[in-house]
Amino acid sequence: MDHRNDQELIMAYRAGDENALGWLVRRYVGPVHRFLTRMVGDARMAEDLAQETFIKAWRHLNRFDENKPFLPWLLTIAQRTAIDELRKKHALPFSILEDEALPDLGATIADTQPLPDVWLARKETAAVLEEELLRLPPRTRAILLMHETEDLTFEAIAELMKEPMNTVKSRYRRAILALKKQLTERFSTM
Amino acid sequence: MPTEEHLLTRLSEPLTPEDLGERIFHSILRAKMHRLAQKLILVMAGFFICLAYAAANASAIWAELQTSSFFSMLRLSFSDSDVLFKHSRDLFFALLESFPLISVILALTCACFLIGAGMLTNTLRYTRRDLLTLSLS
Repeated sequence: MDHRNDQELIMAYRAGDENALGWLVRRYVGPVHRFLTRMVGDARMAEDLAQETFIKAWRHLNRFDENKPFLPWLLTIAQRTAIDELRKKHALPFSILEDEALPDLGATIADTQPLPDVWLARKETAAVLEEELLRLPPRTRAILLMHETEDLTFEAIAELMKEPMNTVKSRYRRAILALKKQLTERFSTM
Repeated sequence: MPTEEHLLTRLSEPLTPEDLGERIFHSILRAKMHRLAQKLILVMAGFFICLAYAAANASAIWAELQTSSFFSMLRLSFSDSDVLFKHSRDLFFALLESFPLISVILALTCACFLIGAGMLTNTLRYTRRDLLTLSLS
């Protein structure tokens, strides 16, 4: 295991140490693969996209500001790679929650109470959640995943996505409410 | 009590294959080799174009070198340095005037392409070695 921080590894790579790049890949392959799997809903496709993401990162590594955190930058590349792939394949029904439809969504949700514990404890919750997550618009899904599972702040996400922070926050909130609504509908009928 | 903000903690954790990092690292090295090979092809093409130009115009280049008084004046400046001091200004302009520019530029370009090809070949060799020897495990 290499104990150098990201900045040191990047500088070592730029100085000609190929192995430093290997350590960076090893350090972040897990988070990138996890993020991509949840973005595209297919672990095998996520492997290919992770490879593409790291190759793109390698191509642009000399232009990366090593004083900034590495993972958010990597996740932004991963997000763009995933969105490009999804667009190419037209695999998902984006129309259901396209960005322009989102502003009114919050208003349609009457019940803002937390979901019952008994639902959340159900075995199928994860599968249903993954399925419903894939119905969100890709950029909104990326915001949700970056914030919830990769612990990125709204500020960092807004900077990476080049969007105002309030837009990011409201997209996040509406997406959460939409997910909750979809789960409520699914579990009510079960 | 769980709230909607904690919904995503219910997601299952995707399993990352253990060798994925290594596969990605190797694919980066292969991409690097591919890029280096492309550059090497371009540089070698440049070198051979230069050589071809030199070969096609060999007689003209040789004639330029033969007829150019540049080298004889250069020799003169070494053998009769007193003349050089007396007519240094004239000699300087004469040297400039008789400089076999095209031949020299051609030779320098060829040399640059050759040096570049050498450097790229070397980097390619090291990257290939890294690909075969470096492992993340």
